[in-house]
Amino acid sequence: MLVAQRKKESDNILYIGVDLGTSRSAVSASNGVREWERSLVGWPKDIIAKKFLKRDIVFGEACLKHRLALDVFRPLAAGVIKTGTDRDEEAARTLVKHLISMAKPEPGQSVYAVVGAPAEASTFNKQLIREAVSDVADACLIVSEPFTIAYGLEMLFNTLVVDIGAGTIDLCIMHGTVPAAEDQKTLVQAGDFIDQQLFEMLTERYPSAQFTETMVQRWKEEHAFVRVDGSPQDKIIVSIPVGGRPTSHDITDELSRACSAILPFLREELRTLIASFDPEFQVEVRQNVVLAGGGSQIRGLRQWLEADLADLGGGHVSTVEDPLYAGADGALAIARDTPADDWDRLRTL
Amino acid sequence: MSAEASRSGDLRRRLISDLVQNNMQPSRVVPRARGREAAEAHAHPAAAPPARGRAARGSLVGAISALVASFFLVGARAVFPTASVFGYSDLALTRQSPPLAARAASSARSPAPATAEDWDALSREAAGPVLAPRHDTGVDATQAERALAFLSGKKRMSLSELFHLRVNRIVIDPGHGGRDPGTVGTTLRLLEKDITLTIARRLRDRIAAELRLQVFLTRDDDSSLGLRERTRRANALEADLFLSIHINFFPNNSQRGVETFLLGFPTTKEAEATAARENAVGEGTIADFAGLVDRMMTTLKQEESYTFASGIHDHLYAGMNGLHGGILRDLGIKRAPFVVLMGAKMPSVLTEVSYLNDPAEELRLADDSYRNRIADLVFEGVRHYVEGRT
Ligand SMILES: Nc1ncnc2c1ncn2[C@@H]1O[C@H](COP(=O)(O)OP(=O)(O)OP(=O)(O)O)[C@@H](O)[C@H]1O
Ligand SMILES: [Mg+2]
Ligand SMILES: [Zn+2]
Repeated sequence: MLVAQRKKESDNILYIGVDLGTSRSAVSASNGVREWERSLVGWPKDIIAKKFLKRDIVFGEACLKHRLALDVFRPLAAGVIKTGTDRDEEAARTLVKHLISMAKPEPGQSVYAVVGAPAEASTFNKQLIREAVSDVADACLIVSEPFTIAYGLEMLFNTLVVDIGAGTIDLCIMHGTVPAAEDQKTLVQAGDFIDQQLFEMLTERYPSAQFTETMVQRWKEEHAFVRVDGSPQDKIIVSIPVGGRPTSHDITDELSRACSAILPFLREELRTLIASFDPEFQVEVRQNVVLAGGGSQIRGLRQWLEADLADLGGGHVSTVEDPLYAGADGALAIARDTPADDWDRLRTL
Repeated sequence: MSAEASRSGDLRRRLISDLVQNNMQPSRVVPRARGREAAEAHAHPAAAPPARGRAARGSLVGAISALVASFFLVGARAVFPTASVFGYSDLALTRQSPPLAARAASSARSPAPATAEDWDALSREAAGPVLAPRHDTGVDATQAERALAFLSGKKRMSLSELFHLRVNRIVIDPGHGGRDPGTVGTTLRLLEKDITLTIARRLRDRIAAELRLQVFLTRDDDSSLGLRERTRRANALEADLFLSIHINFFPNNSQRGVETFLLGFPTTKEAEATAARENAVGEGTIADFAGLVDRMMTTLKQEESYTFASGIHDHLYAGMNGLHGGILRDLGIKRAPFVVLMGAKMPSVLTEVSYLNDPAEELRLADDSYRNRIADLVFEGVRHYVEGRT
């Protein structure tokens, strides 16, 4: 049980944990709100679109639905805020504010937010997040992302966290300290990379089939798997229109290959990080590998990684219960555990 | 159990206070700023002469390259005009001592640098030219023949035999230190970092006095030192050997033994087959050539690490087992991936000389004279290796 849960929360404070993701962002708050949103921001293209949508701005899933009427931004692509244009920055700022507002603070409540940002985020990015949050919250603490997950799971010692997201896989080792740069590693081969691979493979195999990137991602999310020795695999058949007529296509092999495309990168990085522990601790670290993020739901991945650790002397890989909220829940735990004096000090920043 | 819980409470409080601290000083928020690039830039002092180019990778590369080059010449299937294209044929196979060596050698024991600045100064000095220009005939025929025999796999010989490597300088790394205590004894709460330091100091003194080598400690006090920094120091000094001293803690409480590690992922049959295929010498291209040199470097480092490890391990195990009435397990020499060994350019070994999970052993380790006896066993191993190289 978390220290903070024993702390009384009757004071008029709302603690919020936010997980900023490339594809999805999640919010978890002390008033019980738990929500997620696709990390998309859309502005109506013109006055007509605006009238039709009856809104000045659109967030999340709705951006996909109305994408023809919108200029859509994915402001957190590649794990960090894109800073190419003012519009990108504006989109990031608006999204952060929107996420905090999803926690529904009441008037008069002090809002204290912990925001999990990618380990790679630059000072500039963090400043941007800080500014955006300060418009809607009283104080904020920015924490690097996989750390929030480790904190939430109370795995602070000799643990290796692997957060498999859309834009990046973030690996982080925990040895009882706030992770430094050398304790963290980011791979750009993650969910989006699998989608691309799968899209290309299917385009090659079924040239006349008509499908979109969104469809490909959906198939992946429904069926993703990697082959583990000895396990039988059912065929994966999806319906794809050919010349307008729905037709069954076997995508088993392509899906397996696309999902496996991240494995060599992941394996290499995992081994390097394990190696960074001292001999006395390596055994324990291998027993404490945790997978989080949307990509941790790829079937067989956990088993594959575990089998792969066999030649290092074996290991145990587990998966977080709630990949969607592990980061936001961890951020909330940090928010609650941060002493009131510290929040006061952060307030004045 | 409740002690455990309160300890984790303390830990969380400390973590949060660090997080808050980081956020209060926005300039320190960026892990990147003190990240790899920063460290790397630091690792190559600007004072290093840029002109040295590829030779800067060390005399071993030069020496190997010369031999490989000679192979291409003698082998009469040279796809390269001359070996000098690579700038290697004019490199001698012997290692010339840098100015530092001359100076330090005059005192029986080289003083270990005390501060980070000292280390930097030393490494700048040590980074001076170590490759002597060779007389014009290039690589001689016998060396080339031996290289050919080696490369074609006809003759089994170790690369060090091939190169007549000598040990001049050794870096000893007392594991852990400062903020990082290493493992902790169960009853007396002895700290690994203190034990390794005593052992390393004794080892240094004996090596300097009796083997007349230059010895450096990565740390000579209770300071914190990152794993990469340890090998960086050894590399900066162009040391010939790197030895990291640790104390084990077996999770299985009743286990007692010593084990020694060298860097490397345990090899599988498959990996071996691939390596064999890759190592086969055929028609060369420039890329193959570079790859070949790299592989030979790696092979050399691995072979020497293994020989070094066996020297240490055999003496250590025999001696420790004797001291324990024959009950110790010989956990042997293992390959394992360790960052502390990974960056080292020289043969490097990590040895777990004792263990803190056993209260009886902890009691022995409380006594400096026991630590010294362990150091003496390791010393015999070092002596064995060094004397085999002269
Ligand atoms: N069941 C599933 N199987 C495989 N992949 C999935 C599944 N569900 C979601 N994903 C993928 O997980 C990714 C999203 O995960 P997550 O929400 O953790 O990422 P993110 O936090 O937005 O990204 P990042 O961490 O890179 O910023 C997407 O690529 C998505 O397609
Ligand atoms: Mg994420
Ligand atoms: Zn150790």
